[in-house]
Amino acid sequence: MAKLEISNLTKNYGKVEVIKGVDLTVEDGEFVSLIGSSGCGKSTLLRMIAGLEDITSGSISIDGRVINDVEPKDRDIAMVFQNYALYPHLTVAENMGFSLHLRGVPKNEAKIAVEKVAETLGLTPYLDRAPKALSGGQRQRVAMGRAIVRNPRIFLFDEPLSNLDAKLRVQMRLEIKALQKRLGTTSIYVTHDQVEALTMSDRLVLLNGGQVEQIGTPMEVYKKPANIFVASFIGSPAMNLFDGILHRDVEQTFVTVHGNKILVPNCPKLTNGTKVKLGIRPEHLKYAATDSGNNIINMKVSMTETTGAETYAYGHFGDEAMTIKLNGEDAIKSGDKISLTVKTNLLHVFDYVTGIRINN
Amino acid sequence: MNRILNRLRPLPKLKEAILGMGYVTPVFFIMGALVVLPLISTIWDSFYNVNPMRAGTPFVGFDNYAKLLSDPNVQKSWTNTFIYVAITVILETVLGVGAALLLNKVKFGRSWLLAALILPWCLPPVVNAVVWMWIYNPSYGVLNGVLLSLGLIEENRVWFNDQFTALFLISIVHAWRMMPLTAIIILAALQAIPKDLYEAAKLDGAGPIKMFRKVTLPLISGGLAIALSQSTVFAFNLFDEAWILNGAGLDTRTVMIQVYMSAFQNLKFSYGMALSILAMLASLIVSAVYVLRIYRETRFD
Ligand SMILES: Nc1ncnc2c1ncn2[C@@H]1O[C@H](COP(=O)(O)OP(=O)(O)OP(=O)(O)O)[C@@H](O)[C@H]1O
Ligand SMILES: [Mg+2]
Repeated sequence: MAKLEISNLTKNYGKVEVIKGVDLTVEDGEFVSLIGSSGCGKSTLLRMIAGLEDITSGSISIDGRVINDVEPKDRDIAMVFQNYALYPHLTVAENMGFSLHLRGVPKNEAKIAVEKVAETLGLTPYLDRAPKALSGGQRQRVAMGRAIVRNPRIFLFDEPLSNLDAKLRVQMRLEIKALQKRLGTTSIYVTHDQVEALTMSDRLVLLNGGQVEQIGTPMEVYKKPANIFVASFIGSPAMNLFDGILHRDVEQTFVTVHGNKILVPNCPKLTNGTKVKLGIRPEHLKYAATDSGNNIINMKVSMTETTGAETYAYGHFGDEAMTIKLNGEDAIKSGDKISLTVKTNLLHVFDYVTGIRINN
Repeated sequence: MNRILNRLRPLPKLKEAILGMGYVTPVFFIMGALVVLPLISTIWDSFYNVNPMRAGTPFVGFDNYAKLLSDPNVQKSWTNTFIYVAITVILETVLGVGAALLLNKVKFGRSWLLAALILPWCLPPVVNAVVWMWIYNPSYGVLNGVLLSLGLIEENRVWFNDQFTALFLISIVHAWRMMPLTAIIILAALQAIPKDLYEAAKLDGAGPIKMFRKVTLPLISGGLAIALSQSTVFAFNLFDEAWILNGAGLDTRTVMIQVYMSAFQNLKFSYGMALSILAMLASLIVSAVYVLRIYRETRFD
């Protein structure tokens, strides 16, 4: 049971600022993902929570108690490492029971705890093996088991699934999520896989260059990205962005893109004639009945890809590159000129300079 | 195309075996000529009486070995050697592991420190011993000088007058020269331990001492076994240091010095050979004992 509060946290390596003032509150029992591109500081932030990295300034507290200067071993936090970090000289059972052993828990008590966790993870047949005699997925489970046996206040995961194959990743993703829900332990999960982040988390934190871009539920982040960075990071394929000019008259607000008039949601703060970026998700573009009128995008297709279930088409609207995601059945080929339409309430308008979301 | 495929096909079992034999043959012969044959001939000769001053080489069976057991000089040299082994192996291991742990912590200039550390090991044993002879010199030696100025002794001491002091001082000279090797072996083992194991252990609740006992030590046990056995073997073969610092003196005489004196000063070749065989067996047995022990104790906690 633990509520984690991070306030104005920074981290410098020499002169390089790696974490630049992060604020985050993780509620008791919540599952929060840290997501962002490589090098944005996800692992660093996680390791600061664990106590493996010093804090340059700011504070981290658990249940109201500041833990900046508490030793990692006294924080009661368990971490699952990317390459598992299993002790090679210990058996699976000994690996899982290591922290209990260090704490002086009686042998038979520890044994029972280990066996119970091993049972839930399907590790019972492997308890006497050395880690090197296990497959990647099994090692991953042992690493999880080692964290669970301790019954810590917080779980930290640093890209725990990145070394597994795609199928196993999906399976483990579901298992971790189910386990976390059952145990109700506050969890922070680092990943750069947006599918993992979106499917597993109660909320996700988008990091970029050591700063938080947005914190929200998966739906909030998908439906209302706070800025262009989030908009293009979340969603696959990435959101299309077009340069346009905002117009407003008495009854409507619209953006003109390459001469086409696209009705957008209300943008209260902007004046007529402002330059904006218009965001449209590839999956929100549908075939239009006509090739002119409001909310029409004329696309010239230059390449297509299909996965069977879905077809992606790449091409241009005017001189700007764009992508659409269609049903796999849709017949489309390069060279096609197609007209697409999009619903006004699915559109995103961003400030041209700052990239901040303007419409509500 | 077919020809190439033919060549790429795996060899039949027999051919493969022959090829393998071909590869090891040179090593086999070199080792045979330089190690196995001399060893066998030494063992062989130790059952005869080979003496250049006498005609004939009569077969004497275990006579040489029996005489060794009752020879007081040989007994003395064995006692000395075991004391040397105990002191030097402990010194080299404790100091070597300590140095390796420190070097492993150092972030900047590690390679320079390493170079400095290796220096004593690069010195020829004789040079090293001569340097220490000056240090131990009773009238102008540094050791007396330092202890005098610290007020720990009141007048210059003649260090080699007391047998145990002498054995200890000679052990220091040997350990000083051999410690770098232990340090390097342990350092290599330490550097092979992934950093995240320590991080995992930290989060699991290990303090510095438990970390060393439960994570570091088991993971360097392989290196430690190698380091220990080489220290032991070299300590059993200790010669230069004792010879240069105290000559043939019985108080500091090692088995190897005894071998040299029997074989080349008293010209009892077979007697010396028998003794050297025993020395070899002793060092093998002692190192085997702790290699096995370490292996058993640290594989799983
Ligand atoms: N010891 C260090 N000294 C200097 N810079 C460092 C150090 N460790 C990390 N960094 C820098 O800090 C930044 C953040 O690193 P971090 O490992 O947190 O990234 P990440 O978001 O986890 O990336 P990835 O997805 O690749 O794991 C990187 O730019 C990295 O170069
Ligand atoms: Mg990382």
